[in-house]
Amino acid sequence: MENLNIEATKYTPKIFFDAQNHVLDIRGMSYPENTSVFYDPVFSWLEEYLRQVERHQEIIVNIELSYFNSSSSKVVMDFLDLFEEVSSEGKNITVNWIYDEDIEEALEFGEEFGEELESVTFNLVRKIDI
Amino acid sequence: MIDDLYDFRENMIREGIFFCFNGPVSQNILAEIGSALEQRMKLENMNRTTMLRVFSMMMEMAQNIMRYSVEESDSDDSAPLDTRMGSIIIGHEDNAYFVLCGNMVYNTEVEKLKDKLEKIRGMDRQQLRRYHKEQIRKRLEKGSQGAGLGFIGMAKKASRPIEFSFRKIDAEKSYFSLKTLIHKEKQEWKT
Repeated sequence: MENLNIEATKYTPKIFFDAQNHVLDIRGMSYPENTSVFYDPVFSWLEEYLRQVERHQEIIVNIELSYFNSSSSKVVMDFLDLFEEVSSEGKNITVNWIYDEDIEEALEFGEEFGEELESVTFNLVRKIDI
Repeated sequence: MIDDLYDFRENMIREGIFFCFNGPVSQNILAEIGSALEQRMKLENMNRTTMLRVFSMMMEMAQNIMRYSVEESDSDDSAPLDTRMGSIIIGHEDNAYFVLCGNMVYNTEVEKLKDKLEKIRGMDRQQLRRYHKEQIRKRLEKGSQGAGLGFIGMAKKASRPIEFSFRKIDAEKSYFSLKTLIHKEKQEWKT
């Protein structure tokens, strides 16, 4: 399967879903005018990928969103729900929620999403400046 | 008009306003306002939490204008989203920033909006957190893009309950204003 590679814009994050190495990265800001225009193709890719991938393949998801608007938070929840669904069917999924400790709410956002998950391995990872 | 501009300026300064916009709101304009705001707050030695809170309040409120304002910059019914009109004002008040936004809404929407906002105003942090959890799972109402998550998010970040007002303009429309306050927290920025 082809990788999904979408460059970041001012309003949308960089998306790099690597179907060979099974690492799915979402990084940047997310406040598109219309979330479905941007995220619908991402969902379609993801659903197709999760259908094809071998049952016990380990999949790593890295989410590092420095800012996301409220409609994007709904999208993030939908992503996590999808991961939760396939991981309860036996897929091995780890989500790393990468947060900036200088931002007071950043950890709390991660915690709130994490509380919604059971089967997915969910890690809160403090961002380290390079 | 040309002789009044100075008074207009003085009025804004007196009100603590340092940014004022009125017109069609587009994504491009928002991104520019966002970066101007960031520059300014950096100069005022604000920490990243404060900067992000002000940025996100402005963004949520402005995107509400883009989605829900019923005033368009021309009379064309098929006007694209980015011609919706609204006002965005940012300023200082005591030891806080305020973000004040306004746009026209239909009178038929007023009660619904009031109920939503009053409900949120009455909640403490824990209740807001629970309510947010509930709403993020809800299927979207027709015509809504966020299930009211925007208002809840703002209330969670604000230092005081959200203030709002509706002013009836005519039989069809009212002007809706929304104001939030964000407490200032400082840090030194190395230049």
